[in-house]
Amino acid sequence: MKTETAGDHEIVVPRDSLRNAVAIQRGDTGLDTRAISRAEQALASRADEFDELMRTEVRKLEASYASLRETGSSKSALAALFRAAHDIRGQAPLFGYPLAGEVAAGLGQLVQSLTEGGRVPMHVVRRHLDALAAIVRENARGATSPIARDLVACLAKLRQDVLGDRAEN
Amino acid sequence: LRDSRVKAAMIRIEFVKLRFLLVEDNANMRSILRTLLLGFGARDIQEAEDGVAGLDLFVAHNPDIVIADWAMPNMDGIELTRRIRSAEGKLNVFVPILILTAHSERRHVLEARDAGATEFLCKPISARGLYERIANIVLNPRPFVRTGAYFGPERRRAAGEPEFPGEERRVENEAPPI
Repeated sequence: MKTETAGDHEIVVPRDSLRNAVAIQRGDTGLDTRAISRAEQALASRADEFDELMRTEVRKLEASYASLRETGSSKSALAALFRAAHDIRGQAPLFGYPLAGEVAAGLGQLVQSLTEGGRVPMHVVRRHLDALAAIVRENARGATSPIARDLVACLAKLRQDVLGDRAEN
Repeated sequence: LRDSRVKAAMIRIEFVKLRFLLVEDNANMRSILRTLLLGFGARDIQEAEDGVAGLDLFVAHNPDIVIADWAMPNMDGIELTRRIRSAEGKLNVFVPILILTAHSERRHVLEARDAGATEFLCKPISARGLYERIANIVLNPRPFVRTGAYFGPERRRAAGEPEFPGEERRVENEAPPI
């Protein structure tokens, strides 16, 4: 490890402990991307599980919402609902449900607003949960289902009405 | 790769030689990440379901790379990053930390950077995105900087931040060879 002082800061060059994980092979060029293909295949081999994984996430979201209603929008219940929505936002496209991801992102905005003391009617939150459940129940994979797309657009309009400029679409 | 001795060479990351710590509260996501890492060839993967458990495993197993979700109960990925960077004793405060999040807003990227994160990956993740971040960590280690308020990898200039106003004195602007 080398350390240098430069003005008001110190620069530290740590020992490159990961260097022994790099192998150079002659013959081809660039990064060995076969590892990516292997990982993609491993993920694709689990595709049959994705619908059930989405259902699990929706059940978790429902449980978080129920807890929110029971506790009168406690801080911890809001945080749990946000995390549940946030998880779906991050995973739904990977599981083949990008529109569910969009609804979850919108739900996250609503919960964020509630957390910051904003006024968000609970029926608007509820409608987002219902939409997510419907998209998964009806197996509306991809982004082409006209009904699911209408639903997403309708919810975006609702959020615009509730959040105004803070709505992100 | 400008060195003629390694011309026409392929760089391979030997994942089997790397110890990973995966800190993610969502069991489904942990399972997906594990699948991808195993697909890359990794075998040593420790898992924790929040930052508190992650910190314990960091101390116990001394991983080569930490992959942590941002939003977790008890201790989130940003706080975990701060704790690791400020750890004392023989712990590896330089360990590369990759933060995962569904937040894609610029302020979140900057917050992760300012906490001392090495890389940032937005969900939904892909095999390629994860591989590229890990490859960058392994192939392009950055020096660390310590100031009064920050200790972490040298921060790259974020898009939109002012360029260095001084005279350009480098002979060429190409990236250095790996």
